[in-house]
Amino acid sequence: MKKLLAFTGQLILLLIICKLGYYLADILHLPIPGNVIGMIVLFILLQTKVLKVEWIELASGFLVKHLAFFFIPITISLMTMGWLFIEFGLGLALSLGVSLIFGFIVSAWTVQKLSHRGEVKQHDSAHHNL
Amino acid sequence: MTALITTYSILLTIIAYIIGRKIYAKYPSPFTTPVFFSTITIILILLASGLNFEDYTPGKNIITYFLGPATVALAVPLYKNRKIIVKHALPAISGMILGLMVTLIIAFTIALAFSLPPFILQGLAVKSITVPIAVEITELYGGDSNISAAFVILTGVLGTMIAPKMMDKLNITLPFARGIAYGTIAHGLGTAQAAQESEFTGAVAGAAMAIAGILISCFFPFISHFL
Repeated sequence: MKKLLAFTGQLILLLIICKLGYYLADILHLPIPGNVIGMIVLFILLQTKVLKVEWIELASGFLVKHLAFFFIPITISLMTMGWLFIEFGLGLALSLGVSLIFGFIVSAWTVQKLSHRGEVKQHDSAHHNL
Repeated sequence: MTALITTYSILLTIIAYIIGRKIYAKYPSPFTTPVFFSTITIILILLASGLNFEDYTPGKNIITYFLGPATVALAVPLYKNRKIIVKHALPAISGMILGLMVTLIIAFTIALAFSLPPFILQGLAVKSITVPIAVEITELYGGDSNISAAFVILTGVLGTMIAPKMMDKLNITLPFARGIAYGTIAHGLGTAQAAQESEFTGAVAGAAMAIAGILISCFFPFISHFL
């Protein structure tokens, strides 16, 4: 029960920061989405110790862990987009597929080549209990 | 009646997701990734129940409302991993920028070769970043956010289906490198996949997804010149 209350409180806090992000993006005429501003605001609040990670860990951990769930309804919307694939299917499939494969390879390969392997591995095990 | 259908839609989505996760944990395969499995199941059940996408929309809106705070919550993995990311900032940022550039250039080149229309190019420009940010950017620049969302999701689903085995084959084993690639190219779905590999990989992917979203938000005015 206490956990549920804490979870709800933390979720409301995240919602408020999100709204604040939209508000800031609006009044400052920023070309960046409000939710991204919200993320930057939360990062600054954590970095400046105004907020402690423990105060939002429960709700944020849950949301990040189950991020995929919140995408499912958007994936369902693909059922209305048959026309798009009937009309542009081959080009779209190739464009999405090939660009994905090479994007992955280049991104991962660059990081792996440029990192000092041993160093990151050590760091890795130290961070496992996050 | 609407309230009933909405409740039904939400419950259906939650149950399909829970079952999807269980099945993936037991039989990991490209076709059992939770989002892919849940989507197919839900579409089939909706059709069998005589419901269409319109009926599902109110439930969809309630669930996707939480993508806002979920995006904000990404600040937490970013914060927790700030030290290792700052320490390896150069490889990380190089991997992200090169990966995004390569994926966008290839996507545009193929799209132009097939003379796909401008509204598709606009969707392709944001395909690698997380849905809430992609949708916002497209709306900010007057594009069709449904198209963007569809491309983002397809990229994410394809990414989780293809990438794990592909990176294994190419001997990309460093969790930090895999995490960066998952988050940069396949956003939230990639991050979910990365989290299945290890908590650390997931955290790095979460941070990479956040940074990729910020990068594309900032560079979109520049990218849109080419559209």
